[in-house]
Amino acid sequence: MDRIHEVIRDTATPSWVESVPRNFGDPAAGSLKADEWRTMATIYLPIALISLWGEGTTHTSPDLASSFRQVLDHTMDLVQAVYLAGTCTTTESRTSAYRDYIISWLSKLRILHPTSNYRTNFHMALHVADFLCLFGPVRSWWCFPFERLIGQLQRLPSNSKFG
Amino acid sequence: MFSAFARSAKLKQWIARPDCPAFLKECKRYFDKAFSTLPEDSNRVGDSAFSAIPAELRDIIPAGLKVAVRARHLHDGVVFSRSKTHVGNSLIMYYPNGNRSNPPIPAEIENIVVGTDQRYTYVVRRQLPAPPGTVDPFASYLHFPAKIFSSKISNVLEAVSPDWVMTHYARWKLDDDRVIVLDLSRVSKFLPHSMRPSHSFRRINGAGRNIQGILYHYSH
Repeated sequence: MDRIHEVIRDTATPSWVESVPRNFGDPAAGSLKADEWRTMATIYLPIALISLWGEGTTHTSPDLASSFRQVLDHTMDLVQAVYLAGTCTTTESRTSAYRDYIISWLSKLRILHPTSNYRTNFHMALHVADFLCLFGPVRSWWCFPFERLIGQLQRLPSNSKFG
Repeated sequence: MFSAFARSAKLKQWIARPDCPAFLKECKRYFDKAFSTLPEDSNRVGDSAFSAIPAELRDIIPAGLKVAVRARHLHDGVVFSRSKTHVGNSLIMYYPNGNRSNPPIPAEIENIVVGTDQRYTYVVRRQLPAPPGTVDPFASYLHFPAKIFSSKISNVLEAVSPDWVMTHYARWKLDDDRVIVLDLSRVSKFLPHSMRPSHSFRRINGAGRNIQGILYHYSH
């Protein structure tokens, strides 16, 4: 976690990249919003994890190094899938790469993290590849505009009474 | 409230279309002027700001011009800054000489100058490549566009036109010798160069405005 905090604090990013809580993971930071998760998954987490566990890093034993590398490669399957899905253009080869990454991530999930459970979202993530073919890049049909509207509604002053 | 939201979204979409009446576009310009924090003409420089070329820039700016040094420049809806104003906004991936057939390279904007013709030029120093033999742990991940570079920047100053810039990059210092450079483009990293949209900043920068998705039906 220290490395992730360090990367969030010290990475130089342009002002259009939305910030994420510097104390990510602490109870005080609260839970991340969807867009903050996207920034974490495509910028800060991969930089932090690859710099800790990637090729060229040293660990106390070869077994530990191999285990970290497996977890890293598994996480990077998801990171690369998110990156490909979030691009503003798409191609058949990218769509196919997205599907391969998601399948690879799902097939290794219960092996590397035996206590985890499959969720409905995982099934839905597989269908995103079909939607990329049918509707084009996710920016054309993602729900962030509606999330923005919900945010506006939530910020409206109210007396907490229904009706 | 939902109706107002939907109407404003439709209006924005209409104004972004090329066949929108000029009158409406003019109205938008006045609205932006009145309410936006960075109005469209924030790039315009008054006559009194121009002076002789600073000594350190004489080798790369044509002699005889009068220039003004600026802290930032708004180009196609994206803010670029010199490094001492905002490091993150000064890190750019650009195509040398605007030649898009080669991959873009990372550089840091040291100065932004504007001539009396209101043309902007970025004075940049390239991020030097990592020394030969450096292990790049990012090379294993084809669809994550990060790479190891040297933490040093070039001694050579270069003049870059804003149109040559592709996007910003994020930079994190791994140790004293190496930095991680992450290309923040959201559009063209894995497209063949011939298929890249030529003016695609609003699609690249993730700012969420005027984004139009493009689906290329081909394989590579």
